[in-house]
Amino acid sequence: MVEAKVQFFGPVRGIVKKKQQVVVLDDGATLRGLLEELGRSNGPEFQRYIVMDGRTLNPVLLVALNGRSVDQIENLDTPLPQGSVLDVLLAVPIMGG
Amino acid sequence: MLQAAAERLKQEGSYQTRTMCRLCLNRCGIVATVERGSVVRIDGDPENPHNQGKACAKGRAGFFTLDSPYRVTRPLKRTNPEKGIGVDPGWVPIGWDEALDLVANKLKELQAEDARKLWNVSFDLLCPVEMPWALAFGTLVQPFSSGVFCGNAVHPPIYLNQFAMEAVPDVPLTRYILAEGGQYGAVVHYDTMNAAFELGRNREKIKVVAIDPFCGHAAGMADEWIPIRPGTDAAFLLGLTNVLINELGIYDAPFLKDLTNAPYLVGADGQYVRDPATSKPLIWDAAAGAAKPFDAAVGDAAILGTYSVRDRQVRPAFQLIAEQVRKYPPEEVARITGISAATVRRIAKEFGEAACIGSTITIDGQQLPYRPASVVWYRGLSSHKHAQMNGMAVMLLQTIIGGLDVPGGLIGHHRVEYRATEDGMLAVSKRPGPGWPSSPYPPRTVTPPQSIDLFELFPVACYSRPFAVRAITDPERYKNLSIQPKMLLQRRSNMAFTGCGKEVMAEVFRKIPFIVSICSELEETAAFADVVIPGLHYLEDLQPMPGFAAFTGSKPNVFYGQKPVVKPPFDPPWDRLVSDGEILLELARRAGFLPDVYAACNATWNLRPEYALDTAGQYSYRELIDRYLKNTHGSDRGLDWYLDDGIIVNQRSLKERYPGAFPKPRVHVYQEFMIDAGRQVEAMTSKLGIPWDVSDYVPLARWRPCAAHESNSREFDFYLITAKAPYHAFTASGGNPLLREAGDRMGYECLVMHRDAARLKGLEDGARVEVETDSGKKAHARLRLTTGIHPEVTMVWGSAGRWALSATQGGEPEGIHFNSLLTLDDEHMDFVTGAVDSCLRVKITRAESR
Repeated sequence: MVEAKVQFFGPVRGIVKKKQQVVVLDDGATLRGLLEELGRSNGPEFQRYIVMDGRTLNPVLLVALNGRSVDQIENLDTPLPQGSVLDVLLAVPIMGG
Repeated sequence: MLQAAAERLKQEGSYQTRTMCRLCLNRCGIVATVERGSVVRIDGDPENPHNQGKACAKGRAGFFTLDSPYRVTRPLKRTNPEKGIGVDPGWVPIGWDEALDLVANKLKELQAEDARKLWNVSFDLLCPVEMPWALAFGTLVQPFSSGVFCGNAVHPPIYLNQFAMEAVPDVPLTRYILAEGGQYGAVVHYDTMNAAFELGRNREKIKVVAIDPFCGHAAGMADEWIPIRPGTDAAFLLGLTNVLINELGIYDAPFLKDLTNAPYLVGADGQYVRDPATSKPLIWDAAAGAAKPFDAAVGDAAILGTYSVRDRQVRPAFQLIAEQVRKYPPEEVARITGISAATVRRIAKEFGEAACIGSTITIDGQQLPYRPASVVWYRGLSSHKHAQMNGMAVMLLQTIIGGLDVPGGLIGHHRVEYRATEDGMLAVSKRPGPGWPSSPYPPRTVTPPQSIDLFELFPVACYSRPFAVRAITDPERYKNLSIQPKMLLQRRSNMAFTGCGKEVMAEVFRKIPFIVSICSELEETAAFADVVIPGLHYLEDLQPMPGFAAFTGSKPNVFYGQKPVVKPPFDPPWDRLVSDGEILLELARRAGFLPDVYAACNATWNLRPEYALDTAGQYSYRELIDRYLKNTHGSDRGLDWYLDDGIIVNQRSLKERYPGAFPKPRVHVYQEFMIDAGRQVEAMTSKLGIPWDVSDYVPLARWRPCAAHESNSREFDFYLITAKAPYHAFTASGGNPLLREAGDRMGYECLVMHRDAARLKGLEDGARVEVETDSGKKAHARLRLTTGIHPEVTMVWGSAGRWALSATQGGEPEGIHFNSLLTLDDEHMDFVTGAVDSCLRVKITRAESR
């Protein structure tokens, strides 16, 4: 079994109604599997943010697996290391002027 | 030199501190000289290349507000529940513990209810703990004031094609600069000082053409000023593109074929024609006479012509562009903009020839493309009903000459990482952390509103802050879906002044049950607060820059930051306050979410294990900054090093300086993604019954008139615009007595009008006049006549009209508060970028008396 800790930050907490979640998946589980489980376990309001197309995650969702963004990983089928930490938040307006 | 001076001063019981100016976005490196506990002088930091060792008049005068009699030195509590412009809040001083507990308890209650109801407004941009604090609480930092009138048409197109937040001409290598609506090199900008000095040194080599309704300080120093009717920039830019493509045949064909989507085939529906097997966009290979996937070996990618694919007539995207811009012949552009057809043709020719398409330059032994022509723009293009069209038009012009991130061209800074999408197009890479990019591509999925500013309905915008005002004042219109703020926490921001007009903002504030201001002076917004907590002057604040955020075009990048040069004139309940961030941390501790702040610091600062924070621990602000610095710059560069030295200048490789000269994914000339984004917005708003305008979700720019252009009233016969002055920055400098004096001498409080237009009205220089907008809003000012303004245009200065006591210094407000004349309705707001139209239709009459 693979255990991953998911940390929700910012307004996404208002949607999933929690700060963090521990997800346990079968051995060989992937990042895609983890995201699908998050969609299933957090209801339709959150699920619509996780639309995946091929190797691309909905750009509204910012996700980092063990400090690396999904954009950098570029492959949702990456196996999850044991004890993974996934940081999740929604795309935000830029801070600039 | 600096060390020698420091030694001398130390012997005299005084010292110098290297720090950062925070009066404008250029953030110059400065050196503050302190004698007997008081700052007595500010100079540019000679070792900081970001501002070339120089400081402007604003920066040099910055210490004059340290000892302002209007500084907040104790927490204040409101006793008068009535809130409004000019209403006395009935402040009473309270203790720090009482103030912090009062605010912390409110935060605790709100977090239990819905953290998103905290409107957390700051335009600090540098405070390392403010975003982790917000994320830990369950909200974001929302720099409301800036996004209302600033980069709406700047950041998205630059992220799109340059994976950067800003872009500036490659001075001194460039040879031709079209400066449009931005006062490049003269006022508040990210690259003002570098630009000003490079342009000054290279006057003979670089031609600067300013396209602006007003001959401001930048246009006054340009080689040529071309007055343009406000809000017609897209027509001018598309006209130039038309002349270049259809009359002169000047464009960078190899670049367009290989590094843009110009050859992607487009069907009658405006969308890419795709390979049925792979879904990849197709290109027409003229050598083979067949369509091929974009990433196949193609002999000669066609960018012009009409072809047949699966019995459908298709055209390369560039063919559509050539046809679209043909709608803007110089004669039509002249009718729209007021710029003669001959001038349009001449500028297009000059720009196209200056681009030297096909030429190369050798730098550090490597041969690179050389495109020494660029367009630089800012608020003048952003603050319009159709801001999106302006942004698309300006980026198209720069892209067709191949002038993106190559020597002499337009150089992105504040860059982020990029990747290739499955369509082969460049997209920025996002990561959780400070400085997230909001690129328009790929568009974010549209969802029902979940935020204060309806951001979910703006899938290609970088922000949508003015819509917060509409959603707060008229929630029924948005089906009560937007978050209604129950608490406002504002810091280093002055929303009442820089927002959407004083009466509108007063209405917004009255709807928010609890308001907290952390500020150094009682400015306009603080007057609406329930609690005021003393904030720091920028010369008292410890805030290092995140990473290497300061760039100088294509030159080195620099790390430096703010340091506490002097102690603030008050003490908090702990040791010595060195950052507003400490107040935020103390509030988190008292409200019970400090461990979450540490977790958010670990995530967003990307702290390595040796510097990661223990969420059960307790750290001082200084300890946090020490880890933050060591994590970024190495174990020998923590807080002690930062306070003692604190500057790193990094030379960059050729590829870092000129990424456009090296292989990378294709960029957009045809924004096909806009079609689907518009459909998504239309479907969602229709389903929710929210009135919305999706007509600007188009793949190619076009010019569309603002409401001011469509006014049929002969009575309202002038446009009114605003411009930034070099001696003031937002509301950061209004209370500075030296800068106020400079402003007074420059006619800062005046309404500027063309001499001939005034004569026709029977008005003379110095006359007191009334300005009335076509929506019935009025203001008064003294008239200043000039020939340096378009005859149909009048102008007021951007930071004028302040009314807070700290700004007026006890006197009467001076000048017109431009934002109070604006109209926030469907006709004056851009539903794609969230911009507010800042060209108004007005009539000018002699005022009866003062």
